Amino acid sequence: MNKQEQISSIQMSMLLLFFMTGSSIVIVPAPLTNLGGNGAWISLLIAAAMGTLLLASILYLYRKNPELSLIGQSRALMGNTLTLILLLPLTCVMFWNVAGIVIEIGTFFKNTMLKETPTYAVNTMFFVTIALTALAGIEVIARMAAVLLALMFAFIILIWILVGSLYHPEYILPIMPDGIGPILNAAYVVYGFPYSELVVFAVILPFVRKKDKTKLGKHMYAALIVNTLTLILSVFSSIMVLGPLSGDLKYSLYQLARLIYFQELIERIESVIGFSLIIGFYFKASILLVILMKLLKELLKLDDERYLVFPVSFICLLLSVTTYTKEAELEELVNTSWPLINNITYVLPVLLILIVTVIRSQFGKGKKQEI
Amino acid sequence: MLGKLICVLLLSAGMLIYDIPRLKKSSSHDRIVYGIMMLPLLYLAFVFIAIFNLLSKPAEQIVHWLNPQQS
Repeated sequence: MNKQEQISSIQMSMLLLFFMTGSSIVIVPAPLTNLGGNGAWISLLIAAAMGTLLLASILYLYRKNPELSLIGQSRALMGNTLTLILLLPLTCVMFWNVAGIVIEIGTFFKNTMLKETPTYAVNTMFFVTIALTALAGIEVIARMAAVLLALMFAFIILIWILVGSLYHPEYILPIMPDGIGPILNAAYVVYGFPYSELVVFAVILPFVRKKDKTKLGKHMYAALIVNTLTLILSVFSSIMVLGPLSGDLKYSLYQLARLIYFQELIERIESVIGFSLIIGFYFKASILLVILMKLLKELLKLDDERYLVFPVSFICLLLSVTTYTKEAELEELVNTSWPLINNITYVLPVLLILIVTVIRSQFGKGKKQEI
Repeated sequence: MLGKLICVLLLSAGMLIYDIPRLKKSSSHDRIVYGIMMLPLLYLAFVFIAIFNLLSKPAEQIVHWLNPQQS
């Protein structure tokens, strides 16, 4: 993870797509349809619009100072002390965010495949893998993303095709039987996870090669559009197959995989598909850990952040087995507090830095014109 | 509890075996940061073996404001 590491704009957009789709493709459809009903896709569009604004903000900051990350920009604009005050809560929440992804995967395993295995054993295996991946660095992760992203999307599309015989398009109507309230509530939840989390990419955007700088915006927006379409199609397929039950059955894509029955040749393949879906969780946690290491390196002015990969992973592992160990508590957090926590710790610092940057650049323009 | 203790000890041993030779070559600043990182790690290990909720009330109010129908 040295300074010379560089990736292309396409690789960065693949990382964003993996980060946004990774765990949400399995988790999001159920709570979304539970809250928003058949209008869940409208909630997704509202949240995606908010996500697009956040992406535009971090890309604007990147264009202003392509060689500086979020921490560097904050230091240049507001000094060291204010940067520490702004970004320390972000760092603490990011520790839990990495742990939260692994809590979700631990719960997924516990409910579906490894019912007798203790959660800490599953989480430990996961964190050892994640730590080793983060240790390999962002270039290796970006190269892995191409293969694993194709694998994950291939399995998702395969599920949609193989459950084709079970689709009931009439389940999609009515769209808004209870008005706009449930739609806004669902939009709030899906804005918190995953859309507001994308601002953490402001930390690793300087890793993009200089010659790819002009193409980065186009590729990142394309990744966000693909992510939104994938989630919308996932919600639609879930509603069309499971109908009113789609909000009550967790891990709806996995539930769809369980229903696959094709000519007595292909059936009960949910474990194979389950493992491919786990790639999404693993990769999202790895990307977030790399971002956290980069953040710690700049915030604490370290020479090399590789020393801290194992201690930080260990702290995240211990957080994953000591916080929100009950499923209902975690669900409550994701559905109510997480969007607010994200807004305060992730979005607010970025918006403050953005406002100061805009004011500075306008003030600078005014001064130049006076001269 | 014994399983948890063995898990923590094995991971700690693996981590220190990997990190200590590298830390010897690093700067004193990096070593101090590594030492400070051990403090929350030890605390959490103790919690495991033997703040967000403060925001739950305002978050519930936001949800109620967005969707008054939800109890």
